[in-house]
Amino acid sequence: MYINKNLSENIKGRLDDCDDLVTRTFPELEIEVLFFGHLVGEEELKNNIVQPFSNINSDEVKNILRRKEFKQEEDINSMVSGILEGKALVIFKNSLAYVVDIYVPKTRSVSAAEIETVIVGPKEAFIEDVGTNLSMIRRRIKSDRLKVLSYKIGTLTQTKMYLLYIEGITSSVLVKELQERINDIDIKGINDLNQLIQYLDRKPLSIFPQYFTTERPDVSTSKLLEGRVICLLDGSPYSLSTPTSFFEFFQSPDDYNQRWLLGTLSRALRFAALVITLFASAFYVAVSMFQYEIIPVKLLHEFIKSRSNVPFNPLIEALIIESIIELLREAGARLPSKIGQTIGIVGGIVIGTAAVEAGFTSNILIIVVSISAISSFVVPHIIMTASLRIARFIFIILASIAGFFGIIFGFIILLIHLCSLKNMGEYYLKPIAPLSLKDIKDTIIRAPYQFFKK
Amino acid sequence: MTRILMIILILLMQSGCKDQKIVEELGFIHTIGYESIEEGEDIGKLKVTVSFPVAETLKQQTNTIVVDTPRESMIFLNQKTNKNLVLGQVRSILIGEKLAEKGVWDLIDTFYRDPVLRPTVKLSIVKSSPQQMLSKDYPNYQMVDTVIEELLTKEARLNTIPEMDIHKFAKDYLDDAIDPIAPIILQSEDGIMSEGIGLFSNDQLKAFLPKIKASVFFLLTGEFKEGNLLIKINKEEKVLFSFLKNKRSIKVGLNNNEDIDVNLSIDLKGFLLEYQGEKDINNEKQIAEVEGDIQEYLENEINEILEIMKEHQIDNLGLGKYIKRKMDYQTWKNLDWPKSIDRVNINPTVTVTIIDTGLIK
Repeated sequence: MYINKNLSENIKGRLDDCDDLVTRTFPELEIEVLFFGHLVGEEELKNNIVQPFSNINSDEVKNILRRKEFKQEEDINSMVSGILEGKALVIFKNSLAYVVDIYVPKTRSVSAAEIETVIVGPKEAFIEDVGTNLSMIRRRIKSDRLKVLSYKIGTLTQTKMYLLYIEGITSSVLVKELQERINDIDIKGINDLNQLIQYLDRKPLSIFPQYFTTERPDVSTSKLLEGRVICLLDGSPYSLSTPTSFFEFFQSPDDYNQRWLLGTLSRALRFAALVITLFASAFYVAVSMFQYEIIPVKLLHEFIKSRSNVPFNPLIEALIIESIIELLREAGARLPSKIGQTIGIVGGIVIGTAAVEAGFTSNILIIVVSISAISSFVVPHIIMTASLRIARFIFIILASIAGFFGIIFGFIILLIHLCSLKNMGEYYLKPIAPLSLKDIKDTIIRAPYQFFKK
Repeated sequence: MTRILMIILILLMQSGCKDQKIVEELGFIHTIGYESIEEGEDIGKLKVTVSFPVAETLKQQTNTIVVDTPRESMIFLNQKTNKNLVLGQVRSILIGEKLAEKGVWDLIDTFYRDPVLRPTVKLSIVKSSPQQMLSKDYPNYQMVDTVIEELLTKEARLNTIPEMDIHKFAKDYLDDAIDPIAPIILQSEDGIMSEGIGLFSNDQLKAFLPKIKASVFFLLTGEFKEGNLLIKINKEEKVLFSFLKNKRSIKVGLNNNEDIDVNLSIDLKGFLLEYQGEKDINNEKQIAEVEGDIQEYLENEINEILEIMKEHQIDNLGLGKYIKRKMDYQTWKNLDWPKSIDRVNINPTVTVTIIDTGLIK
């Protein structure tokens, strides 16, 4: 048994220049307690350390140290990391060390989801503390088959990460594969789960998100039940789930909480929005530059009337308005919500109307671009929305090169790319490609629950 | 990454490689009129008139040119306007009567081959000159070309003229068992009006059926589903017969491939909308008499139509299709349809049932 003769000095030497280290001594008991004041809870400190060691004789100390919350530690490294993790190190007679976990994270309390809001259903969202997040999931799945594996990510930040899966539902190959990828990550530190995703990515050049993140514990729970693995990272109010399918990004808890017909219809609406947001502006460009044949003659007159004062060609015109929308979106995202509304008014009303009156753009284009912007917000997941925005610009440029031929060309390339994407061995477009009729019940439609039974 | 950048760069450089058609620079031809010049120094040449709406003012503009072939007309017409004239929005083609008598297939063929044109472009024969029809100022119409298109659509819906587009015309032309037809429109004092149908032999206009006969013709084709028939039994008696059901059946009987019998029967059910005459239409016996009169009248009309067809050796009803089914290919070839139409005995029978006399008292 390795006993360090001058333990206290040694540890303080390791934590040299760390002025926030608190030392409390009980000289008559030969006890020294080391901890970081801002990591531990007042109450816990009082109950576990201050009170037991007050008003006792030196004989009783051994009894107290035998309590179950006192864990004897022999390795200096783990003593130091214990202190860093918010534990208190109790040094007895300068040779025996015990750690007591009195860590209380200072974070906000659980509040309602802000990004993935629902009309019907639970409101709570994950918070920055991983323990609380884990408890939210444990509370929902009271089964011993829910397994939790713990990792530390980042050589310096030592961020806690949990990997959750349900034994018997999730394939063990998947868990092993993900474990390997996590072990491969070699970085100094990490702040958020969305960063972690990019380290796990095997196709970083794709514009599509390859891991599904959510801030909702109910969604994470249902992902677990579907046989997916989820990850929680300390300091990040998100959970990651994998393998991911393209269609997941078009699902909302509302689909499941409301009656199936409504769920199916609103899902259909979202896919319609996907088509609109990808192709609306490109369609405008293609029609006004190449295939004028396809619009009804009366609409064509309005089309020309609104275009006749515009000095730019349709591509430049579309790119200008699309960029203005992107500017507005970016400005709205960076500003506090109260000023954000002003941006909406300035952007939407003032610029929109004035641009048309000044002969800057045609009002049909304003309608087209606004509809495609609104449609992009119908897609429930922000990350997917961002990907679609990039794709939209590509389609506009392709449309200006070869009209509908260009759009179809781009669409085929997009389909090939989507079909070739794989996430943890599963195809991204599953169950459409490869087709699996059995699983289609919950992708494009949401069938009644009675049909889900096997 | 460089590969992707190269692809993007190459794509961007392609942007001049297809002829762009930016909408506001285009003039969308709405109606094209063709006629042959009958006198003067340009005799035998083609006069082409196009009308296209100017979107900014919502007025139509017409241009006329005299050329040798239909295709070169586009080049010369383009020189006469600031817009780039395109064919992608053509809705109707008007052909002058004289030109139609000479043959129209060359014209239709050029259009039919062009993928830019929709195959549903409407085709009609103009009794006067298409140029006059398109360029005249009508007090009641803002744009005459849209009026022509709407008139043709409406009349086709009301079953007085056929819905004839270049696709259907080409189909009937290329089928050896049927001859095409086309609607005829006329320029009148204060506007335009539809005037019945023209019967073609191959691609040449041969005969003309006025409005009432055109309706009866439709009964024979079986396309007439619902509508009104104005029947003048004699000078005093007039019936407006509105019918709900029209059952047409054609039966072909062959005797040694020599005698061909065609039984053409029409079964009409409907009600009287209007009756002017002596008979008491509340009396069942008298109604039966009215039914008989209508039958007789319709049979007469049908016989007249058949006479016209036999006279010109044409088969616009498509009787040939039914005869073709009954015989093998060689016999059909030897028959030389429709020149042999006068060898065929066609027996029309009409059955009229009046199921209601309405509220007339």
